[in-house]
Amino acid sequence: MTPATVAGHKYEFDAAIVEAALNRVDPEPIHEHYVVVRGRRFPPKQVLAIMTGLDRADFTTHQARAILRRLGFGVHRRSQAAGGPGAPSGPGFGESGIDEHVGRWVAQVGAEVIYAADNPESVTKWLRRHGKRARVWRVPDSPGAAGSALSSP
Amino acid sequence: MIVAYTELPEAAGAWPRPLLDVAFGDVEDVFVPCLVDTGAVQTLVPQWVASDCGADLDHAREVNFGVGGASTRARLAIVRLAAAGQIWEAEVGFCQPWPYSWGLLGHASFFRYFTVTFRAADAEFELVPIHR
Repeated sequence: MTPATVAGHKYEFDAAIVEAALNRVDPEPIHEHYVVVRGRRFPPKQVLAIMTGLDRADFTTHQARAILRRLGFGVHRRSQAAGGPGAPSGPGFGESGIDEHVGRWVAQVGAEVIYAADNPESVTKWLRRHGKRARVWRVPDSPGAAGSALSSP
Repeated sequence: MIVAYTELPEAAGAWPRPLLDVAFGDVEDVFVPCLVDTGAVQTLVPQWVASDCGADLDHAREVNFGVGGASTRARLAIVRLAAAGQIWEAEVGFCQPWPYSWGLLGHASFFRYFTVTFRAADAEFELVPIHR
């Protein structure tokens, strides 16, 4: 357990409990900072709000990042290289973590995956709920899905 | 317009592909990546795209195509396409099943509207609209 004080309240956090709590939670759009929980990216304040039940105005992104980092989660800042809506991905694509999403349906803006799900309908629904525009596709998991009969050497 | 090739995950062979993001119908928030495929005649996409863009397939002509070594059933409809700053209407086949992670842009509904130059050495292609 990891103790922390947020907005004057004392909490004991546990990484496994955080993971379980986020199982059925849809990540909100990332603005600048994000935390990776079981391969999905969440805004740190969304996660801490769920963990504490507090209003997001009661704590800062810095506090949320610090607590989540102490719990062992990867806390990152969004890449400045991300392109605009519908922008194609190019060299440097690997930095988006696309390999984490192989076989899944994703919403991608520039090089960045902003949402992933098991079907295209969930992805388009999420985009419209959050007013986002993105490339929607299933990240190929085999040369066959990429339209190639070539095998690896 | 110059478009960088899309790099793929290692699991898919990693070799980058010339993919172009296309919006179908009146949808402006969902872009479907499509392979700029000089070997294709028709423009074909998976059927979920028809549901998403509201394409009317009730009276669509149905045709079988061989794609990726398998057979697929396409329902053909005229829809609006938007890509590379251009908007045009063309026939698109909405297919089920669909083996690829992207759609295919073919000669009948795509190449007749653009001059396309591939520069594989630079991992990019250039699109110039044809205005007639």
